Amino acid sequence: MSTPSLMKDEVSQPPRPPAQPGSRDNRISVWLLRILSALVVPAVLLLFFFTFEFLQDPRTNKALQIVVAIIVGVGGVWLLFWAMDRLVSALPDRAAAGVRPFVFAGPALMLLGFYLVYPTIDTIITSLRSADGSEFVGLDNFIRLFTESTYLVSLRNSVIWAIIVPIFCVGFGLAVATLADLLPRRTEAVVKSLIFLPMAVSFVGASVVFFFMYTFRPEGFGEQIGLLNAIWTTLGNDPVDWLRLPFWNNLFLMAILVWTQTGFAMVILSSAIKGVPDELLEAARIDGASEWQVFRKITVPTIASTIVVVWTTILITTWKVYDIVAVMTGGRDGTSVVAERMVTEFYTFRNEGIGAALAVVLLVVVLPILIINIRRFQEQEATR
Amino acid sequence: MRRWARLLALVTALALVLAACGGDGDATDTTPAGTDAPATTPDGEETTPPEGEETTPPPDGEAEQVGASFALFGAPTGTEGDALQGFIDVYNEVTGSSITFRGSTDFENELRIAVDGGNPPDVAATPQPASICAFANQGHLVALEDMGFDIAEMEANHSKFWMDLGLCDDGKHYGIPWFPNYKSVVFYHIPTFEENGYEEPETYEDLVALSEQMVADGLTPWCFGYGAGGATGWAGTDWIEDIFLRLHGAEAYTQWFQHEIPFNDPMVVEAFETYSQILHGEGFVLGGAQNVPSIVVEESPAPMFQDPPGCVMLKQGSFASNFFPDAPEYEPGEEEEIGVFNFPSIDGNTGAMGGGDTIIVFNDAPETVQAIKDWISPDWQCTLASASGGGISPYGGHGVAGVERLPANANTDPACLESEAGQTFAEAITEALGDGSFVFDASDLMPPEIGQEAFWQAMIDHASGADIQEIVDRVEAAWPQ
Repeated sequence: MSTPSLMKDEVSQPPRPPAQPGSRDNRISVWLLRILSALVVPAVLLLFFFTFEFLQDPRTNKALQIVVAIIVGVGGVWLLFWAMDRLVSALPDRAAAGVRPFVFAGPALMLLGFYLVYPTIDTIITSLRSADGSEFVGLDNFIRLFTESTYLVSLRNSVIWAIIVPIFCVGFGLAVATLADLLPRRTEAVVKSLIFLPMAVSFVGASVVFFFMYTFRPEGFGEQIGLLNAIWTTLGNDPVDWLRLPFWNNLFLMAILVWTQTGFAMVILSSAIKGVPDELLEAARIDGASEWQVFRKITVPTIASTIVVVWTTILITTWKVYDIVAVMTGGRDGTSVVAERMVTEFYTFRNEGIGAALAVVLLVVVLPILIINIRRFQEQEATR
Repeated sequence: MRRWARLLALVTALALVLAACGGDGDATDTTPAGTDAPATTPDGEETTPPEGEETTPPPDGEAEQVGASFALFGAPTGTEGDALQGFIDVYNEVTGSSITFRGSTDFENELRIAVDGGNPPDVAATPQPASICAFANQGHLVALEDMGFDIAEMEANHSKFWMDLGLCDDGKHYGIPWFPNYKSVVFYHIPTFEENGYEEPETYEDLVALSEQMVADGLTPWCFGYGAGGATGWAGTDWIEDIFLRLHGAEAYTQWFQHEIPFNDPMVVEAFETYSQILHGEGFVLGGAQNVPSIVVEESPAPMFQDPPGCVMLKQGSFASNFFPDAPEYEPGEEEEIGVFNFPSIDGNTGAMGGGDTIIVFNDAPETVQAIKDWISPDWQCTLASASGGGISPYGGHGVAGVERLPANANTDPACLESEAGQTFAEAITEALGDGSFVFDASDLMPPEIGQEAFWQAMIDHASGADIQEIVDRVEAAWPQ
């Protein structure tokens, strides 16, 4: 009953009303097909995976590899299309409509489960095990995290990062967005582009840029080439190695993240500010409100939900910060943060239990923020 | 019809992408081997010496026609990797073997993944001896005893210390010393020594006295630099290790990195205090001791090349000449400016501290074992040592100019190296291999929590002038239980 023309018909047909309570057999076979169809894509991917393994072996004959690549590549995709088409169109029309969404969404859900849910569960299990994962140690790893000074320093630093960085990013972003709004169109565009530019720089790239800002050379090793020390010594002070100043070095690292994230805050907030109804602003001005009052009493409350979204997004980025610390100091001299610690414990020390426990801490802290963020966003979308 | 055509196009496109990906992986895998042959530019040079030698049969003729065929995986890349490839090429040609070599900058992780995935190389050369027993205890390696190596002879020629690093839980040996590097080296500015009539110090007291003399003469004796991003501090650990070895001997040194002697033991404190005589000597250090962690390791030799030199001496590994500034084209030994002397003795104790690549065997075909036995023999060590083999190698050299490797066999002639500095190093290392005073960099043998973090931080704190007892107590507290 499946002819090529049928495919077209099915696609163009509108979804049917909910199926009438059919026979039980039919229901089961529909579900079976739903699951099967979701499995086809992972199965083909698995086939691809093993083929990749085969193709990467340098000792295998090249011509053979090419042949296998073509057969599996063409054949695999063909198999995928054929199987899905077959499965769906073999059903009665009404059931086909019920299965079709699963053919498309199913593989995605399966892969999502494989790549997100499974690793999360595995990480939680690992966090309850010893360094090499050989024995179950209960909450020992977590107890160590919250009692040993090494980890407490990382946790303390991460909390400070998470407080300070969003404040400055949103503060600067809001200030620039508001002030740029008062500029002529073209100047505004230029100013905003300049502030937004660091967003295009990777964290590692930004770290290298700031490395030259903070560079310090002791006497006998040449002139100060660091911008900060050049300014500092011009003012008549002795040069300082900023990244070794206890506690302050953390703030110098945070400046890098603020530099890259301010542009993001500015762009989002700026569009929100432009969305504030002119009538409101004009009404306030006519009533004699100063610009500051207009900003405090009209603009900020109107864009409050956007501020929260921006704030939480940057908060999550900050909480997960790794690259900057790893590149600039590697966590020495009291600059370690949770994500950096996690990688060091897991890969350098092969301390899988503690590494996974740190990952769980990262996740647990991010989760509520994430949920709040999504709720907020949905509310915002709903009122739009 | 059109629908089918479109589908076919899509499928073909995907297939092409897949083929491209496959081809890609394939390409990166073969490039090292593929490009190395042309990259070793002195190809002509490299092939001619063996040909020339072939007319005069090699000693005993035992190396003839081994016919080994296996894959070697190692850490060297770049010119170092080219030199190793050059060595393999010579060996393949002389013995009719077909051995392939692949080097990786991410050697440690790649090897672990390959082994965990059940696809290990036949033979690997690891710079981290601490990983040997991890593989051996999982049953992946073949023991030297089972391959017919003479352990007693190897301990005599290749340093018992190094052999013991591959001595695992079952009482068998798994590591075969292949080539070491050498860190007990002081570089110095020759013209300054000659002008002032300074002599190469024999003892640590002489070294301190010489430094004081230099300060009195208005010079700054030392250049230091610990800076290395996340690895800042490692350069300082070499000082402590060299001093500890000379103060307390190789046996105590082993107990120290094995944690039988705690890190806050008075012996360790003594090593730190001895080091302080130089690091914290009045006017000894260019830029001041507290700033040493801020100076990048690679930039630390630069002042020695200024006119007049900003400092006179620098302690660093034999590899430091790689980052000497270009200004006066420095080639080890060829340039008069910079000389080397061995780190001086303490209480008459000398020693050689360094690292090195150790061969581990996953697949013990008889030809493979024969090839490895050849590689650690003085003759083939000579080929591995330098581009020409110093003109005395029976099979020539590896053919890559400027790359020198120290021998792991005490019977190797130091003249296999070309440069004067290289020969100085080789003399010291062969002597140390023979008399058992060669040791590995302890920080590489300690658990990573110590050797790659706490010990480094201790060196930073020490330079900043923190209390030594507090420093070593902190390291001891960080030692994993």
